Amino acid sequence: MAVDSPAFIDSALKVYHVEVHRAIKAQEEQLSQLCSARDQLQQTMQTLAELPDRLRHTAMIPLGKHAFFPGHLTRTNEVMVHLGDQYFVETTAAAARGILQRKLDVVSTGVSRAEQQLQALRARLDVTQSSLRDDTTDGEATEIRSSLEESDALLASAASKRKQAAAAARQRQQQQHGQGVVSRVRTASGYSYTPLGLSEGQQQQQQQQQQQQQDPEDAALQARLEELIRLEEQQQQADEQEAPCDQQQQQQQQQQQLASIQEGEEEDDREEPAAAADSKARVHPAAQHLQQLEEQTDSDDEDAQQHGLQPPQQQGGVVSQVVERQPKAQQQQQQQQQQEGRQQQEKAAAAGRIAAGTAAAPSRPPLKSALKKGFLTSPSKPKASSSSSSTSSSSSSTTSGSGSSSGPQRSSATAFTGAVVERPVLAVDDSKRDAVVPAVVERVPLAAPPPASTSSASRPSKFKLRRMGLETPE
Amino acid sequence: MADPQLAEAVQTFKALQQELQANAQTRQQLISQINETEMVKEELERLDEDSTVYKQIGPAMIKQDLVEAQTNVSKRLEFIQGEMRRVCDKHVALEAKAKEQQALVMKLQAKQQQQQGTAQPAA
Repeated sequence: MAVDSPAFIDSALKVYHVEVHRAIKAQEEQLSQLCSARDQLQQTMQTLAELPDRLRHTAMIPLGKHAFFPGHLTRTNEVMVHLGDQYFVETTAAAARGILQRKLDVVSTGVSRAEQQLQALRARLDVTQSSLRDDTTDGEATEIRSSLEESDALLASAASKRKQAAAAARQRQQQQHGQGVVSRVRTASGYSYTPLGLSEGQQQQQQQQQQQQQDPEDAALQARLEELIRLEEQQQQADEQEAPCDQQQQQQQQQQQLASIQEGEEEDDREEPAAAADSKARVHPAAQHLQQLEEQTDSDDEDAQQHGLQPPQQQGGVVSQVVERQPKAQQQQQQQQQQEGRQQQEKAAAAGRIAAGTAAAPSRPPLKSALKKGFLTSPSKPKASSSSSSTSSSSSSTTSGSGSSSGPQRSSATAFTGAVVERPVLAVDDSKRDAVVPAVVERVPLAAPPPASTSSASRPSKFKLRRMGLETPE
Repeated sequence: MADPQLAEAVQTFKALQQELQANAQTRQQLISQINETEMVKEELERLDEDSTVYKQIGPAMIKQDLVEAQTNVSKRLEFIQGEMRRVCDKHVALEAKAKEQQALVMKLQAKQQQQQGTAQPAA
């Protein structure tokens, strides 16, 4: 079974489902134990309250399991209380009540904690069930799955883009003043020095040459970067005035981003928390943008920005991503530009699928942290984390036992040959480990307008995306 | 070629995972013990000096001095806390090892898939 086949994902989900069931049962048992302890304590306290009221109680005293005999309880104020850990103390009934009250407090907090954990587990079960159901029905919603690495790299690129937006603004101002600054740009072969004073035509030539020289993956990467830059640029243009030297800036930004992405991939775990914080700020505009662009029928998903969301809920780092779409105006331009990139991408996809397995490696620690976060709704950290880590380790051991890496990756073949329909979400081609390229799922030829009837059917439910990706709706 | 290596790596990984699980269980037990002992210590400290304390040894209850009981309980608490620290350290070490092993397994798997990938178009 290929690692990225839907069948594998399904089976992994089922295993996880079973695990969650087991965890729920254990938790329910624990909860019931705590509840019974609490009830017993309350009863005893009630009895102790009434006991010293009389000097002498007549009662049926049990003799073994099956017999009673009538007797009297005489020394009604002297009781021996079990303190725990094999220690008993002889004390008055009132003091005993005090001791029991304190025990009751501890047990009550334990009960509430157990209830919270049970709720979290049940929520997790719901998510798993819904995802299982959707996998089998395969009709309504589209899931975007990408490896954590790619999403991290995208986050890094988004973060770096913002930095470069500021840098670009600065550079633009500099250029307006006519300073001759040489920018050090990293290309695939090494560092090249691109004087800012080059004419636009020369720079374009340089760019094209570089593109041709680079691998198809890099070309696709660059194509992707171009989109991202254009999107960024749009936002900039909305805020700032347009400058004449945009193109140079863009090209430099592209290459810098390429460099930063390649570096970003190596720093996955470190950057995730920082980048996730960045992405959170972006999710809001992204969500708004989504609403705005929902009606648009253009199918090009490559224009969309991606934001990796925080802890992946499923094992192996399945991350669904909120996607931002560009306005129609830009999309056609980019379609032209990216056709080449797409073709190269498809070729590269087949070759690059092998490296899919390695993507699961960084998914493990974030997964654990994910489970921890999911479980931890209360201060019982050691308990929760140990139970969650045991669950994660047991579930991960079962999936690793199935013989392949736990990378949850859709085959790019199904992605590419999927229904030709506009989907406002970007399915990530996760077969390439090193390339941060969210692949376009379908390509609608420029001439044919996408059928309007299918738009609503293919629209992914935002709620589904949220459930998959976001822990709490933002 | 890669297969026995991969199988071996997977086995070691599984073993590490099981160890981790056992460790987690011990840790949980220790946690509950710590909680209980802390409670007992607190209660003993609240008692009056002349209260009679009994310790249950098997089916019998033996009378104990309050001060003696308090010191015993404190010592026991320290002992359990030391155990807990040890288990935590072991957990951390095991986690690191498991991570390494996992990376190795991934690498071998990727290699294997690559070989399969190159074998298929050739065949």
